[in-house]
Amino acid sequence: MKPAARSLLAILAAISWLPVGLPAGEPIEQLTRDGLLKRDPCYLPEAGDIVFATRHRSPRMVLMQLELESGKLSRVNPESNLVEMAPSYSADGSLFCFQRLTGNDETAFVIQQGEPASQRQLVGSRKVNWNVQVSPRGDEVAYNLSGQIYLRSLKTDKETKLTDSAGRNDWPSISPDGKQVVFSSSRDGNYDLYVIQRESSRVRRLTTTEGLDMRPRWSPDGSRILFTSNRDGNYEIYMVGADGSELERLTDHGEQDDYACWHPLGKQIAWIREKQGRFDLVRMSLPQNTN
Amino acid sequence: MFQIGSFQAGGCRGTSRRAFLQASFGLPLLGGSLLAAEKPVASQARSVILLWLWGGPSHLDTFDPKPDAPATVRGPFSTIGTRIPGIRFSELFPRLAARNDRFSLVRSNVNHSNAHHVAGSISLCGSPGRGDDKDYDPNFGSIVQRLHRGRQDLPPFIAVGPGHLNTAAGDIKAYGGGVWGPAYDPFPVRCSEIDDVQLPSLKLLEGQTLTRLSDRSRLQQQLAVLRRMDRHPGPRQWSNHFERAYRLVTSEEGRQVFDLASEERKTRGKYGHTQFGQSCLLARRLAEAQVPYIQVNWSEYVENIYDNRTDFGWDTHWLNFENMAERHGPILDRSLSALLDDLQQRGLLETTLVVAMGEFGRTPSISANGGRDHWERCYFSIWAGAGIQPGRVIGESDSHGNDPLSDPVTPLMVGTTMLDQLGIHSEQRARLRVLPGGTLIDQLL
Repeated sequence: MKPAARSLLAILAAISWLPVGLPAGEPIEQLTRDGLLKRDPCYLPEAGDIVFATRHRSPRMVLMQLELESGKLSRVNPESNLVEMAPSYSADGSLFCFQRLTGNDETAFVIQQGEPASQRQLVGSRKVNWNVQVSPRGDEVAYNLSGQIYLRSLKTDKETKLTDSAGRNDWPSISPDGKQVVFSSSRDGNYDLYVIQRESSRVRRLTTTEGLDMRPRWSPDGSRILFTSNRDGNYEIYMVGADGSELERLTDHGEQDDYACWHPLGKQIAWIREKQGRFDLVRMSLPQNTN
Repeated sequence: MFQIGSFQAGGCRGTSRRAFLQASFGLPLLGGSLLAAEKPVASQARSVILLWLWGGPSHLDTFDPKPDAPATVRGPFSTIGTRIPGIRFSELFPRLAARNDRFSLVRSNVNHSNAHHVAGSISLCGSPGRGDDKDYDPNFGSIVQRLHRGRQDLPPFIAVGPGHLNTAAGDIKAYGGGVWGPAYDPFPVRCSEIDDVQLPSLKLLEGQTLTRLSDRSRLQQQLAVLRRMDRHPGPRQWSNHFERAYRLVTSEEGRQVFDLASEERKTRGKYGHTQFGQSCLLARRLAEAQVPYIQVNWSEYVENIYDNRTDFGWDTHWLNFENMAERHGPILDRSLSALLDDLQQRGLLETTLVVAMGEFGRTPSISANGGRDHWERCYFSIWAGAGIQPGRVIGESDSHGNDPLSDPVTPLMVGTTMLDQLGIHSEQRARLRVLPGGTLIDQLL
């Protein structure tokens, strides 16, 4: 191919990843190119690398770690032959948690900490716990169990039921100070975002749109929340202030944008973007006016 | 399983990948004498593509939502309008909602069992099993295979998916030939989400490329060795199995049908790079090549959660809503929409009957586990193409989706309608003693 044609293709490829209709910000950077199904990315707190679940060279979902500097991909648990997903880290990186499928309609979550790392596999009070997330302080995990949100102390192993509402409650994310939990709930009809103050049990509704608002993720400084919504007809990434103000749409294209997560410094996000039916990990620095 | 070899097949993005092929005793029989015995009958459909949603999709969270029901029935999803005034779908299906003027929806399917392997068998052959060991009639595709007179280099009944249909309670018995035996089982094809198509029923010679396989004389020399091996005592149908394999590998045109890498990247993308999406694309290629019966299996196992595979069948006792939102809804919406678009754009929809269904629906009431259990009393099916009047909704379920209020549609009616559209009418069915007493779903036609 001639250099000019190659340059033109490179420009076209770069343009195709620019966010459309967004405030001035950084272009979207594609981090993987294999197109395989992916979900649940999260940044490693110290190195800034990203761990996510994918079907990489496997008939099952496995956890992979992407070194951002080198682009090297490696299995997180190369010896495991079980399905693993939903990785999350405590803010200081000392504790790593993920979800493991352990049988037919059975799941567990795995806590990994220490150096060398030791793993502890925990099973909830029912067979299936889902969308587990460790708290930024690393002292507890939150998860969905049969449509209600539960917390489990990693010190005492005590399980606490956080919600007890009509409808479904899912996708919990614990605030950096541990005092609040944001989650999705269909208690008022369809999935919207809610925040519960743990001390008072007071619940605030953050979104009221017709449609599916899901997978909220609290920013490292506690001021904002990323989430996925299909309010425009397909899955896009949005951001809203923790008080429900300043709703902002971060992506806008005809296929799915989903599973957004925060960089530990809060100025960049990564997520899974579907493009031409392929699923890849992308990242974007947040526009200045959103900081 | 008899290993014959493997060959290098073209993969996506121009890379060469190894596709493993094995010849098995389960290969379907292409009985030449049987084929010659039947007379062709004019039909609306040249091919049937059955999208088999193994595990039983919830009708309430897909195409028969109940927005006015209590939260314990309604579930968390909103509903959206469709091209047909007054008809609403779950919000998880925006593409299909924008296309339902091109297909018809049955909201009143009923089955006779709420066990997967039983209901699945009934759904795929039209009748309950007989006797203590539950002998089942042949799969609809096996009937088509037996009567097939079309091109001989491609199997007439092909199952595309991740593997033989299974449940934790056992195999599905009407997966193939049933009482006619394994000679009428489907020709299995595995289709991965982004890599190659695999034909586990064949196994060619190690190191062969598609180009080298085109060298007939060379191939025949190599296969002659295998023919000698084939003479060892074994099941009677083995020769026929080998013949099927031989016909396929010696037909360049036949082999190329399975080469998804030859599709444009844009087209592959429209279906989505999921196993089901790429399987639907392969089904279109097979229909284009006039394969008369193609069954695309959503998953190998019904179960939604398994420890060592991410099959994610539609059996959502747990995590019904989580997986519907994260996976099942978006994948089905994209794949089926792309299939309908593609068939229409190529002028194939007029001669291809597309049916999407599972073996039953799921309980209207949400369970204590936060999922929905099996519900055979009411579920949905989608019908498009070849003689099907589009834009219709057949049957109506009651306020909670418990039972049909009108027009119950049985598996017998489903099979009768599919075969009739393919030109296999009552006389032929009677002669083969299949689908006795079956009636058409008249409202679709």
